Amino acid sequence: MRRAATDYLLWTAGIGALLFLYLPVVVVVLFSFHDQSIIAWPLRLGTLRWYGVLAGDAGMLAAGLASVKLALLAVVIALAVGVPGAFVLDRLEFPGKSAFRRLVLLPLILPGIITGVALLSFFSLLKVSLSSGYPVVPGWPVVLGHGTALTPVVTTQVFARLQRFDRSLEEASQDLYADDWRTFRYVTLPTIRSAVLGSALLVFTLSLDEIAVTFFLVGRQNTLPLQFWGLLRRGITPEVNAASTVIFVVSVVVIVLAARAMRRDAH
Amino acid sequence: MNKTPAATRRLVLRLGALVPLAWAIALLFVPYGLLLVQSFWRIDHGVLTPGFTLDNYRRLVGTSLYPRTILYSAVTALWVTGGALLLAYPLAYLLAFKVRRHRDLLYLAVIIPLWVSYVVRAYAWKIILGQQGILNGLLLSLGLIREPLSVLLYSRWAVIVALTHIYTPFALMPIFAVLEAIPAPLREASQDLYAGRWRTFLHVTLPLSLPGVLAGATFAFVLSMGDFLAPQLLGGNDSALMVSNLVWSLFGVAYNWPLGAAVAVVMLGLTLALLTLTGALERGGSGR
Amino acid sequence: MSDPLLRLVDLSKRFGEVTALDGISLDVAGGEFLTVLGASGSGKTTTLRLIAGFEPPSAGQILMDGADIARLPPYRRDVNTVFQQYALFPHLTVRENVGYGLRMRRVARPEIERRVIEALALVQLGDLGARKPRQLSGGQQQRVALARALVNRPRLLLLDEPLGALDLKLRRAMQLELKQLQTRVGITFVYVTHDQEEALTMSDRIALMRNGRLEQLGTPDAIYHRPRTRYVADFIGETNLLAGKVLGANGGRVTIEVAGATLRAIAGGTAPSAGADVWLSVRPERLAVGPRGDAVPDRNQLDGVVTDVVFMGAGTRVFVTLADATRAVAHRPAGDAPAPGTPVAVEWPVEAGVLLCE
Repeated sequence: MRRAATDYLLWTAGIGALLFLYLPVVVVVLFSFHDQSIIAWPLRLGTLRWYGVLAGDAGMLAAGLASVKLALLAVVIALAVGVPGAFVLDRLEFPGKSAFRRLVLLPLILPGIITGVALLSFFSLLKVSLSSGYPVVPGWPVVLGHGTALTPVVTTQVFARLQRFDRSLEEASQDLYADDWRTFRYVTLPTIRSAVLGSALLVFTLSLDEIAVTFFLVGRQNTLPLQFWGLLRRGITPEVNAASTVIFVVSVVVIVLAARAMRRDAH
Repeated sequence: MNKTPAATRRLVLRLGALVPLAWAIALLFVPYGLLLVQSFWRIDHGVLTPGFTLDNYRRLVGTSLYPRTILYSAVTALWVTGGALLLAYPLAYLLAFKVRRHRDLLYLAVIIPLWVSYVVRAYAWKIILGQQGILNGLLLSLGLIREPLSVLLYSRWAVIVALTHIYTPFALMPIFAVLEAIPAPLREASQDLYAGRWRTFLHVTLPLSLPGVLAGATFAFVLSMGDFLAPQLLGGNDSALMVSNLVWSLFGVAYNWPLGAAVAVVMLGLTLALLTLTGALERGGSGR
Repeated sequence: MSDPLLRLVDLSKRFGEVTALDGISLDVAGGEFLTVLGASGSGKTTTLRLIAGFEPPSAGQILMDGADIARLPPYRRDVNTVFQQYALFPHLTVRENVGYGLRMRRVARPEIERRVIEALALVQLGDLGARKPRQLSGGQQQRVALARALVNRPRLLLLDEPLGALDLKLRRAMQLELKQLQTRVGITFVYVTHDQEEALTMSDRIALMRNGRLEQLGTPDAIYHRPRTRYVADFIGETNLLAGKVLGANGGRVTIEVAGATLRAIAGGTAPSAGADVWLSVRPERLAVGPRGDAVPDRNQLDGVVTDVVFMGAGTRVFVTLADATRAVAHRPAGDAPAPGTPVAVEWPVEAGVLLCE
């Protein structure tokens, strides 16, 4: 009966881990319906009040709008840089390539704070105001910061796809009278499309949640996580629970879409 | 005659390659490099002054605060790494070998907590561990304690629990990836050669999954050591002792960017050294 | 005689230090089925890739109708390729795959449709046009790859081990079908394979390659019956290679000594001089195994002992160890085999032996 015993242990550990991972999520969602302004045990369910408060909170809404704008711009930058970056890694040979590869992956591996203070120093040396571009964008430094911090997400995803890509498909296309450009357009691009789409969605949600780099680069306009942070510093407020439940639901939808897109042509 | 558009397109492709190179130089190489350069500058009467001085590094080594903090952060990060691996490995193992139906869905379910706002995840532990929190409420109602415990929150352990929660999915993803890639015949061959399930795990599955464990551990360690928000929220007075909190305050209220840069450079150096080490271990482990 | 469709002149290809192709010169006539045969690393695939335009040659010319196309990109060459693993576009349907080349050449849509239907009918896939490649079997994918190339009506079709991924039975059937198809459409085929049986079955001519060089070029019959080197004799089909020494030559007739016996042979080209080391190649189906006896005019004879008899269905393989310990093999009709251990003589007509200098 050793088999049953080890299996029992394994499942206990796994389910325990899953419960641990979900505990805070469940707590936050449940407390967003908590019918008291002090967040404390016992839980009293049964109000949508905090969603109403959230809907009327101008600061929160402005932060939300800024975050969405920021995330969209981050996606644009990350794609514009990350997709060609993946091609450079996959296909170009040049001196210093291994240094380049390490460099572009750094923001993904380093704690955000290092990238944050590095970019802060950089923009301040260039005398770029953190609020420059406001109110059209939340501030160019934070936009470029998000783009820079999240580009490696696109690069790694697309690069992984390119590595699995059968190069003889491109030769077949050229053999069938398509020049470089049209081969890229009709064969290469459709192959990496799902990786591009999936990583774009990833960048979007990661940007919505980014705080370490944002902390140092944000100007006059707060982003959503920073707005949360500000509220939390003053004390726990149930409104944050409502706001994070909303973000959670949106993120889950986006992530499920991303996973679907990536999986569709993974096999 | 149709050479011109072709030439233009080739030019576009060439320029396309220049974008990431230019980006890597302008927004990665220069800023990270600037951090290094700035760590040799100084603050003169409240003004950032370029120059070359080793004072910042001397202060780093000379006062016990910085080495102690780095050590303290590393130990905290080690706890977090250990916790994350302990949680992630069984889960990854179950997903890779025990679950057949809806595996993708379950994998997604494990990763989803990653997408709850970071700030919210950190602060949810405040609700759970606080004096009027869920844990205290539960313990009181069970009669295990009479007074709410105040030691749960604002302690090193609160920080470790929250960071473990935050970084477990990061550890899980690479572990799952390697486990899933182990060819079934290898495990079957081991069982065919008289190894029981436990010995198959010990001699085949575990060694083969080590690169993923190493990658996951590196992620958890580096990211938790560099975290500065959860410690601030949950750590109470101890929070000042995480190394990234020092960087944060030196770049913030203290306005001593050169010293902050020096601390950041030390962090960067330690991180790169660790990555090089684990990279070498991974290559060595894979038999090449 | 008209000019060849394709002419390779002193074609070479080096990859860094490695010389993959070392001065190949070769003519392919219009309508011909030429097989480039060779072991892996012999340069056969490199030859094909140079003709298709996927790699530039290091030296030499590729002339098509007299014009050098060596520097043209693949999409400007009137040449199409059937790839080894087919390289079908996974995101396109069968119809879109087949129509791809026509679309790239901006052929009018109705004509594309017409020709795609025609091409699919030609390879008997008329009703699978809407499927994606991964929904097809290996054999069907192979046909799509063929249709995708043929639909463009190229002057020259290159096939890179197109049947390599199919199982034996399907491969045999496809060999026949391919050959018939080629005769019907009249397109010149350059066909790369490492399978000598395939080469013998299908080709008008075979170019046998070795270490980046052309070892022998000729009809299947010539290559099989009149190999010029020991390598060719050994590579194509099964053969008995007997080591010998030249005793004397008289016109085309050569006397050699093999395993202590004196044998006669016919020299293919110039007769080797006395004392030279040579090989005598005799195909197993030309060897007879019988009781020892006196030599018969115009037949060679060697003594040996039967060691193994292997049943093969239609016939029997008889292994005989000769006096110098060489193992010879003879193909005999079923039932016509002495038991192992029997002292026997193997014999063959003098003209069945091919004398090879190296």
